Amino acid sequence: MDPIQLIGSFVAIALLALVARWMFPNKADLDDARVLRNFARHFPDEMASGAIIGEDGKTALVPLVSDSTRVGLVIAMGDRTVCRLVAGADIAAVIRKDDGLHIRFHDFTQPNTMLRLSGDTLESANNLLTSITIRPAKDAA
Amino acid sequence: MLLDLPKPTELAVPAFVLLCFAEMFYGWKSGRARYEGKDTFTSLVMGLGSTISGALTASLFLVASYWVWDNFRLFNLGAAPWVFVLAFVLDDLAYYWIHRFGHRMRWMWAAHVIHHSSQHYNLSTALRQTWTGQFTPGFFFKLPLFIMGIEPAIVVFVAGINLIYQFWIHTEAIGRMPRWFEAVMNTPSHHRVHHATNPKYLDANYAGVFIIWDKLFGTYVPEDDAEPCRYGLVRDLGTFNPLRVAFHEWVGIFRDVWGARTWRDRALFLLAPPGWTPDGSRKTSDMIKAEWRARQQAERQAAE
Repeated sequence: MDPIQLIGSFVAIALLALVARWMFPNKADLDDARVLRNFARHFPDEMASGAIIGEDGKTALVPLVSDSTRVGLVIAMGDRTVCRLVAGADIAAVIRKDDGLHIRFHDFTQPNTMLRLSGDTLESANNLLTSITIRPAKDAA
Repeated sequence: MLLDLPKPTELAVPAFVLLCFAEMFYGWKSGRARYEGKDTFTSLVMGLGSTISGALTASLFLVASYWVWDNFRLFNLGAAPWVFVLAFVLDDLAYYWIHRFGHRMRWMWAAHVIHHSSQHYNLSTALRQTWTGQFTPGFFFKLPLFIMGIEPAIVVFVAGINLIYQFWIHTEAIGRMPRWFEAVMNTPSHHRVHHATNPKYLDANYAGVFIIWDKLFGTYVPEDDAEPCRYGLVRDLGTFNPLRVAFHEWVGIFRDVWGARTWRDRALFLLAPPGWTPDGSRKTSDMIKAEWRARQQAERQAAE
């Protein structure tokens, strides 16, 4: 491929992406209905007990009714969502900061996310993630 | 003397760009097509990367193809127009099987998954192509054509036409084509089903140009208006990063093979369908479909 073709290709790509972004702006943040609808579509056998949605509307945790070892995760990706069912072993680290929870995963396709929260909601989300990431202590015997 | 034929896909690139703009504009006006900036960017970068990686390995493919054609061909079919027609049909049949294995064997899926990784279905999705197709056994499916005596340059040429045909079927802007056309040819409707993640639609409609292959080999599923297609992967990617998109399944295979306990498991992590694990902790498309069928049956019984 000659350099002119390569430069032309990059210009066309940038132009198409910019026009797409301008013509189809992403407006909708996550809300309860969108989180639960998408989670149910991906995991029809799991029963959600609610949703803890980040203040920026980009990430949500979905506690499960009858499974305390895993938690649902819904992340806005452009104008679509990505849904995961996360167990403790999937999480590399949860770092609590003033602006929320920074979560790192053992997942090449979803390496990290941030749950922007404050106050009691931050506390609840932190407790929920702690409950699935802390493994039960082994018997002393 | 090798046949010197034009490269159809390179000639078609300006038309691809213009048609993407046209579909975007149509979608903006009518709401019948949808794009997203980052998704479009990733799809197009994948397309450019695919062209570059293809160019880098093209000579290797041609050398291997001509070696087979030179040493093992049964006939020399020449380059008459009917040979091009025959090559087009047989290459499309080979494409069907490459594509089917591309979904049913994780080694080949590692390359093909890229094309399915967008949650959008528009003309830019057609250009979201693999960078690593050369590292799969796909080449072997074309060997019968060379052994039959079709010159590799002709096969490369008709494969280019095949790819160009498949561009326009990546759209939601077209509903259904006339009935006779839908019966024989691959269409936007048939291919929407192929890209859908709804359990009902998984592992269906592998055709490139002629949908008759799916009807012949039992993989045809018509689009059901009551079941709108949802696009992407059964486990969608949480990234727009082209490098992660290009290599994620290879990384997954490497991790699985590295952590496997037996040689049987190592082999099956490569050769079994995507989602296979020794302990069944992940789901294959067959398992997803079986669960869906069980849910459907339970719902029917509850309704009675």
